[in-house]
Amino acid sequence: MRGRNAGTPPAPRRQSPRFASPSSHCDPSPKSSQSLGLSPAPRSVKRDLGFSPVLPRARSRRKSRDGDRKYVSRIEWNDGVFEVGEDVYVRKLESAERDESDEEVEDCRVCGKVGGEVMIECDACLGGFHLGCLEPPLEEVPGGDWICFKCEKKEAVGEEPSRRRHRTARERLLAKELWAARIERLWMEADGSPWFSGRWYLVPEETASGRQPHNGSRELFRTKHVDHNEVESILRHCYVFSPEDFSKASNEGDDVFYCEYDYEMKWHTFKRIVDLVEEADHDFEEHEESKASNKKRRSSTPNKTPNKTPKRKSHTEVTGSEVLRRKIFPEDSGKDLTEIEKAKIALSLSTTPGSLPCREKECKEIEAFVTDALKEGLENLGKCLYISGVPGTGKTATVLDVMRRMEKKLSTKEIQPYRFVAMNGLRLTSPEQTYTVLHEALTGQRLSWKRALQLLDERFSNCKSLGGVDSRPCILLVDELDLLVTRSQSVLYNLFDWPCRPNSRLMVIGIANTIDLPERLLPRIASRMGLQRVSFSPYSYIQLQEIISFRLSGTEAFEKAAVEFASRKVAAVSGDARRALELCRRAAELAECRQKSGDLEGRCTCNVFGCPDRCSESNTRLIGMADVEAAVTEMFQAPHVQAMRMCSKHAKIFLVAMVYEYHRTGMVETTFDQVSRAQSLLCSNNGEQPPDKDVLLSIGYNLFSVFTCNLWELRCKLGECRLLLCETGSRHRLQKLQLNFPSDDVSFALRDCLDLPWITKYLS
Amino acid sequence: MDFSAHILAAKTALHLSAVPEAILCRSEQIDRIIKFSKDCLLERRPGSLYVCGCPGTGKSLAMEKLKGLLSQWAVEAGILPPDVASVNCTTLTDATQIYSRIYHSLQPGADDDRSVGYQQLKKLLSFNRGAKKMQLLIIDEMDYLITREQTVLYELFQLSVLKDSSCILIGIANAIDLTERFLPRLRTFSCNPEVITFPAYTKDQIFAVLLQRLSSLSVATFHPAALELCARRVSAASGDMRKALYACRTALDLFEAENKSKSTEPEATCLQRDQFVQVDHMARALAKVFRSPVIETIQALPKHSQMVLCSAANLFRKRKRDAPLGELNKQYLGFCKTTGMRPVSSQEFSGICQLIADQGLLGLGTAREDRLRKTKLQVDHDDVVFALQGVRFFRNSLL
Repeated sequence: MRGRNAGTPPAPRRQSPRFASPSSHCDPSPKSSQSLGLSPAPRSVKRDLGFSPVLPRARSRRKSRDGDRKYVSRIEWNDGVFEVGEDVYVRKLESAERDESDEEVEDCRVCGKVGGEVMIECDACLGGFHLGCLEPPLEEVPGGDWICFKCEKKEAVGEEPSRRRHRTARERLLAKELWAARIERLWMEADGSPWFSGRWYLVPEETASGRQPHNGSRELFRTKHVDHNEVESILRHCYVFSPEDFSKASNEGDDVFYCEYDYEMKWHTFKRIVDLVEEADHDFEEHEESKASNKKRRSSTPNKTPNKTPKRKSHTEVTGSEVLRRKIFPEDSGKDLTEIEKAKIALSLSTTPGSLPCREKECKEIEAFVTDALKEGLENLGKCLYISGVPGTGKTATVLDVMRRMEKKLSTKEIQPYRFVAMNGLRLTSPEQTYTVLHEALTGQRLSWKRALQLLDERFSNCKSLGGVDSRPCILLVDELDLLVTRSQSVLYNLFDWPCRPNSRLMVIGIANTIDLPERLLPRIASRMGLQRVSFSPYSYIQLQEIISFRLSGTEAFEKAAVEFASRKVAAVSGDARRALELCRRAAELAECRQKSGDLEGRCTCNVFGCPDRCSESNTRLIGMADVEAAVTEMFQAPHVQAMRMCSKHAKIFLVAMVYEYHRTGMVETTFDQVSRAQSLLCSNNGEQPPDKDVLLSIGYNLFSVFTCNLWELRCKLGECRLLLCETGSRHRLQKLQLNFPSDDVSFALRDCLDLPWITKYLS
Repeated sequence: MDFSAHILAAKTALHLSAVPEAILCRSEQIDRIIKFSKDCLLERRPGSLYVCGCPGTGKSLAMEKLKGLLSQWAVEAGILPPDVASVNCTTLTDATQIYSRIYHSLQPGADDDRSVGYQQLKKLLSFNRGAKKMQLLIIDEMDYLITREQTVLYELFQLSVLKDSSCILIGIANAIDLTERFLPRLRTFSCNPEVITFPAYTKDQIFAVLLQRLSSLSVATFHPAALELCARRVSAASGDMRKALYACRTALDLFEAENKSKSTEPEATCLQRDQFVQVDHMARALAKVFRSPVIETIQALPKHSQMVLCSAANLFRKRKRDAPLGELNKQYLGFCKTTGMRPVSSQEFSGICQLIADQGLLGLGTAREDRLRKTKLQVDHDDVVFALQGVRFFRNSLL
């Protein structure tokens, strides 16, 4: 039934040389199971057609048995050779089809809700329906086969009888009698049986929104869900391409499919695979949909297609709801790491901690907002929440943490199913792109923003009528909200107007830095945005200390005082947790460096400190105050101070002369002539050889470029480093000069200069 | 009645999307609009109307009501009910798209993707060319149609003066003088749209509306004094009904949270009192809504930010205008010197200024160079003094 969607705009059709190949009528019974003496049922063939959150249950088993396995990259089986990264059909065996112990959680295809009433299952599409949701409603489950209205309609349109004796594997796949998967890894079990772990593909009917008019007849969706199966359940090869390759490929026959989107089974959202790759590249150049075709072409170079190269690692990192993914602290590999290395890993910004200390209050507030929004009966009432706070105060991390907890609650069925869409204002090429992204996430259809806006507007005007998954409440998280401000502010207006509509079922959570963004917007937007605000204040030093110690709980590398020093230092300036972590990480790096050089020099360092006894455990192992101090100077010291310190002798004198002139005249600007006079005065008074005018000028120039022995260039050098601001134009004696930095910086930088001790008295 | 179901009903009644049966306190405006449209319908003449008012004063709500009332009246009076096209201009991608939007909502069968220009719309709305019914166009957020030449707005209003036109135009926006300010040439083609202003709600009106919304509930949820407090505060601030509803909802949330924590302890005695949302709940909710977080924000700032703010306060006290960032830096360095703190570098300093500006405490202009950016204190000098005087470090340095 599903194989012939006559009305769909299909991807280019192709001649199929394999169409009548004998293997496509393959006998479904496993051929070789007897020879191996195995039970014919693959043990873990199980797919959640009900789309309840799926736990990768096979993983724990794998760990325990890992030792017995032999991983291989290719296996010969049933006259076929299967390699990692290839796509295959997987046979659905009768015995594995329905597991009574695993209760199916199926949501009604009409109202989208789980449970409640008696449900009936369509014998054709296997979709569930509440008896009451049908038209006309049924009183009781009818005897015999029952076919839902959707399938009935299809049957009415279709010209062939529903069951055909011999069908190609493709048709059977599309009729959900077969599955398709990509082999992620292959191995031999201890008993010699070959197994594989496969990442499933879905046909459009298996997604929550069903087959949409824009789905191609050979379109598949990749999921994140990986299962382990025996190789014997593999029927044979199929080929899944990116859309671009799909239109180019001409020789692959009937078993060719294309896959453009990743499907997130938890949230029922779609994500372009192309985007995923591009997001990793941080490549945002495209503006309009007209250019989107370029995008496809560019990104479909062979090494980026999902099927040809098994770039498994990169895919697992970026697919699906990667925003909620948590990088796990690699505990098992921690044996051969030193304490400092462990500390460095724990402090790196990409490690998301299990919980967020010092943000309990905000976390609670946000959680209350989300739970309240998803409560039964309240889901019709849209809501907005605005979160503000300076960078590095854990805004996004807190929200994602809350969403992770929601995910857990969802799996225990404490709350009703919902959809979650996250976007970041910085990743959008233009504010209007919001509509495209939102629409694509909800429907899997990529449109120009104009069209998407229109459809979204219709959608949110009455979401209830949509039925199915589309009527689930949707939580939209917009990070960096302030970037969506346009001149007319219409994007924000729409984002916050939709929740105000009846039955929109949209919750918007906006995150931005500015605390008073709503007040800066037009009053009509502020009026709609509502008054639920959460603001994150900068961390105090006690909080920073707690955060760092929480992260370092596994290791003993840091001295307590050092952590406190670092957190005090950061809290005094910005209260940014990222900076505090970076500072500590840098300190750890410095300590590591010191330790390594210490190893080389052996006792040498100890003799310098003059304390061979104390220089044992505490000094080499731990990261102490000195390391943090070094990191602090590195981080907080401005580059221009260092540039001043590294200047040549005469350049330094030149700077001092500028300061001297500035103090003498009180004018910010001086002429070159005056400075050179002051310089020769300084030099003659302190027994230095005064440079001649040309050299001096070159010093000035070199304070903005490279030093050469030419007076003009001295001046220019100072200017080139942007230590000086020079009047543009020719170099002449009356050219106006100005220090680019406060004179105090010069005094600070040159105060304890070793080669020119006399400088200090002019810098008072 | 079950407590949670009760709260749920109250929340639904207070939500923005709930449309009440009758619209209170707006009868004068609605009557005028209805009278105008009735006249137009009876005489089968085109006309235009401009509705203005602050956000949250019930303009769009009144339009929803109008649609229903008009068609009902038309049926009773035995006239053809008008076709209604209502467009919210924020959803347009381009001002000229309004023609297609109107066209397609008046002609639902037409090909959706075809874009339609002014001439085609004019044809559609012309009695001579086959229009039978009157057409009511409701253009919400009309100021989004403002372009450089105002062609779209002029053309729309022109539709409502053409002799054989069947168009009744109702434009809605916030600005009270949109027609005069942006469309001075309207008079030249003798189009003089009637202006109807929706004033901000007074305290009595807000109170009445809140009561009406809550009257549908079987049990009283709010103490009347709480509602009155809400009405008074909101009307004093802006008269925005949305704000009043938000405040009530927040109060309800607070009440619910409190009750939940209480229900764990078996205290039957105080149950009677807790049936209502009390004045103190509302006061807390209003404080949340109208709070000025400046003091807490300043107190939560990092030390150096406070120092920058303090020096800014000192700087702008003497000469009350803006100053470039360089000057503020100088002041800050002086401040550091007197207090013996080690100053942060100038890059760091501009970062700190950005941070304070993000908190809405300092205005920061744009300039080619960081040093030349204009800064301005955006909070009261006294607020800064008040917030920082508790810290001993600042006590002597505040002027």
